[in-house]
Amino acid sequence: MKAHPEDFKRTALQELRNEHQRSFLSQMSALNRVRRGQAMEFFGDLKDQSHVREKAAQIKINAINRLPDLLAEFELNATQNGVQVLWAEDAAEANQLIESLVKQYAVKIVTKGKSMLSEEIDLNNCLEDLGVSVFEGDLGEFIVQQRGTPPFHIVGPAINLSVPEIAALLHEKVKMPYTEDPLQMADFVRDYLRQKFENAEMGISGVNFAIASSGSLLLVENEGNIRWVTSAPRVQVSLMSIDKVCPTLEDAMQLLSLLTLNCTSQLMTSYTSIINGPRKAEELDGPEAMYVIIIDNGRSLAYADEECRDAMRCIRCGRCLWVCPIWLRVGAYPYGWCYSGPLASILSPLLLGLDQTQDLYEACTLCGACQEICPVKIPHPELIEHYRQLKKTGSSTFPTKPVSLIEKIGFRLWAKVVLQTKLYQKSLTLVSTIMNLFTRDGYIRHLPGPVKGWFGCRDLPHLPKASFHQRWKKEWKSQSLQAKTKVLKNQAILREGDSYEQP
Amino acid sequence: MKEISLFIPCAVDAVLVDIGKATVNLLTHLGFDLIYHEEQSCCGQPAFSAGHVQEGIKIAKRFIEIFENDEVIISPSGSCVATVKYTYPKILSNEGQWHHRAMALSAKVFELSQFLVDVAGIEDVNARFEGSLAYHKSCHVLRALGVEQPVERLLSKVRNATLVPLEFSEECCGFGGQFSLKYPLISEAMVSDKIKHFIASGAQVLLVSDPGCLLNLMGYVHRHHPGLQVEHLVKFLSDHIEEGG
Repeated sequence: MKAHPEDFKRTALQELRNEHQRSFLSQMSALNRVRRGQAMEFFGDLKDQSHVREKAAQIKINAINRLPDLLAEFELNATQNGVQVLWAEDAAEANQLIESLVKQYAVKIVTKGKSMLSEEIDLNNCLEDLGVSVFEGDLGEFIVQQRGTPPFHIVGPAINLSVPEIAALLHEKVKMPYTEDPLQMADFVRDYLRQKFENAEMGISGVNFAIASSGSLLLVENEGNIRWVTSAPRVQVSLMSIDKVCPTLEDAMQLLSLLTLNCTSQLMTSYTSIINGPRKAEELDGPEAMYVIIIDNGRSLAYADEECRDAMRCIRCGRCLWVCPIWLRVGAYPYGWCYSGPLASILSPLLLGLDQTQDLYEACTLCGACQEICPVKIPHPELIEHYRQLKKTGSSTFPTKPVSLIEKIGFRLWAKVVLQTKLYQKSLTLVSTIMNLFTRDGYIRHLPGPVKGWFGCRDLPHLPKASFHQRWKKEWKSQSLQAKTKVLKNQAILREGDSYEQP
Repeated sequence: MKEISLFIPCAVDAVLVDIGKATVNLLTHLGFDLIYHEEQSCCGQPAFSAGHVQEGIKIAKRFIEIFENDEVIISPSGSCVATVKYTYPKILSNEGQWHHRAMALSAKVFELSQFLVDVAGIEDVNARFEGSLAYHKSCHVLRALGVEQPVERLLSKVRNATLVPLEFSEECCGFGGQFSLKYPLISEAMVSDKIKHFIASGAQVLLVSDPGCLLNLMGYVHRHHPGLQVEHLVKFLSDHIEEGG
C-alpha cells in the first residue's frame, strides 16, 4: 500500500462530514468499553490491570532491549526445526525474496492470513504484478481487498462498512448472488475462499509472537483462515517484523491474554496456532517448506533511539484506536497507510520519516487516553512530544522538515517575554488591548492570523483590563490578609495539625 | 497553618482572572495564608507540547528558582501542574543539580482539588447549590495527575447538588492548546460532541478543572448554545460558599 499521510488534513475534512461514520464509531467505542470491562470482570487474572500491564510492559521492554540476541536465538532454533529464516532490510528486499520463492515454487495462487506487515511492504500489488492471484483469507481483509482501501482498523478492517455496502461490493467484485443477510454473505465468502485455500501453492501469514527459545510462531485468529494458510499450501511464508520476537512461550502467553482482551474483548480467540516448522516425514499435513522472513523496514533506526524504542513495544491490539478522540472523529483514511490512530501516530513517523507524517504527530491533544489503555504501557504522549522535538531540532536518523520560520521566531520571542516579569506583564497588556479592539458585546468573535482557527466555532471572552497579577497587587494581597484574620476567628473551619506531605 | 504559594497559569492571569480570584477566595475562606510570587509568568507548557524544549528548559529553570523555597504550591490547572510535576524532572534529567531541584519542587506542587482532598483532607468547603452538575474529567487532571476521586468528593459535599453522569466524560474536549488552532475542524467535532453529551445529561452546569478546557467549552457554548453554563470547579465552589457557614 502506497503511503500518503501528507494528505491527512484534506482527507480528515472529508471524513469529518461523514456523520454516520462518526456516530457509529462513537457507539462502537462505548460498546467496546463495556465488552472489555465484562471480559476483565469474568477473567479474574486480568482484573488488576495495573499489575498485568506492568508485567506485560516489562516483558516487552526486556524483549526489545535484547532484540539482536533474541532474533539470533530465534533463527537458530527455527532453523533446527526445519524453517528457513530469511532477512530483509526493507520492503523492496522482502518483496524480492518473496518473488524468488514464487518463481521457485511456480506459484499461481497465494492465500493470506491478515498481516499488517504485508500491507506495509505493499506485498499484494507486488504479487499481482508477477501475475499471481492473491486472496486475503480474513473476511474483513478480504472485503477491503476487493474495495482497494486500507484496513479501517487493524483488527476489524471493514468495520466502517454497512451490510448493504459490503453486499453490493461482493456482488460486483466476486459475483456473490445479492443478499443482505450477513450469514449468507459469510457463507458465500467461506465457500469462495475454501477453493482458494485448497488450490493455493503458497500461504502467506503474519506473526503475532515469535518464540526465541523454541523457534516457533504463535498466531491468533477467529476465522480459521490462518490455519488454512499455514497448513494447506505446499509452501508457507510467514512475515515478521523484528519487534515480534519474544523470549519464551511463557512470556508470549502473558502477552497473549492482553492481546486478545484488547483486540476483541476475548479471553482467547477461536484459534491459537503454535507453528513449529514444516511437515515432518511422518506427518500427513502441513507445508513441505516453511519460510520466515524477518523484516526490519526502518525499525532498527527506532531501536537505536532510546526514546523511540518505546514505540516498538506495540503488540498491535488496536485498542488505542477505540479511545482516541481524533481517530473516532476522522477514522482511518486520513492517516494514509495501513496503520491509523495512535498506532499510526507513534509508528508511521518512524517507518516513513517525520517529514511526510507531520500531521500524524501534530494532530493530537496529548490527552493520554491511548497511554492509559495500552496493555504494554507505551507512553504515546511522550513519544509524540519527542517527535515534535526532533522536528524542531532536526534528526540525523529520521528525515524531518524544518519548522516554519514564523513558528521558530514566535517561540523564541515568546520565551524571551515569559522569562522577564515586567516585559511579560507589559506584553499582556499590549496584546489584550489589541485583541479587545475586536470585541463586540463582551466577546471577541474573530481574529485574523495564526489564531484564526480558534474562532471557527468559538468566541473568546473580552480580555480583562487588569491581569491577575495587577489585581493581586492592588486588591487581593491585602484582602486575603483581612479575610484571613476574619477566618481565624471561625475555628470551625480551621483544621489542626495540617500537613502538606503526601499521605 | 502553613502558607500556600499560588501558581497562577498564564491563561488565568491574562484571560480567566475570575478563576484566579475564585482560587484566592476559596483558599482564604478555608483559612489558608496565601503568597503570590509576582515574578511568575508561564510554566512553559506550550513550548514542551510543541517540541521547543530548549526554550522550555529556560522557563522551567526560572520557575524552579521562583517557587522552590515554598512549602506547598497550588494551581487551578491540571495541565500546568502536570508540566511542573512531571515534565520538568524529565527534561532536566541530564542536568544533575537542576534535576534534584525539579524533583524537590515536583513533590510540593498540587492541583487545587488534589491538594484540598488528598493533602489537606478537606472535602466540604461549605458550598450549597440547588441543582444538578456534570463534570468533564479534564485529561491532565484525570490521566496525568490521576485525580478523579478528589473532584467527586468535593462535589458530593456540595449541599443539595446532584452530580449526574456525563457520557464520554473522560474524553478530551478538543482543546489541546495549539491543536485547536492547527486542526480547528477536528477540534470543533470534539467540542460539539462534548456539549451534546452535556445537554443530554440534563445537568444545569458543566464543570471542568483546567482553564484550557474552560476556554474551549465556554467559547463554543457562547457561540452555539448561549445560556448553557460551563464553569471551572474552583469558581463554582467559591461562588456557592454559604455565608456564615
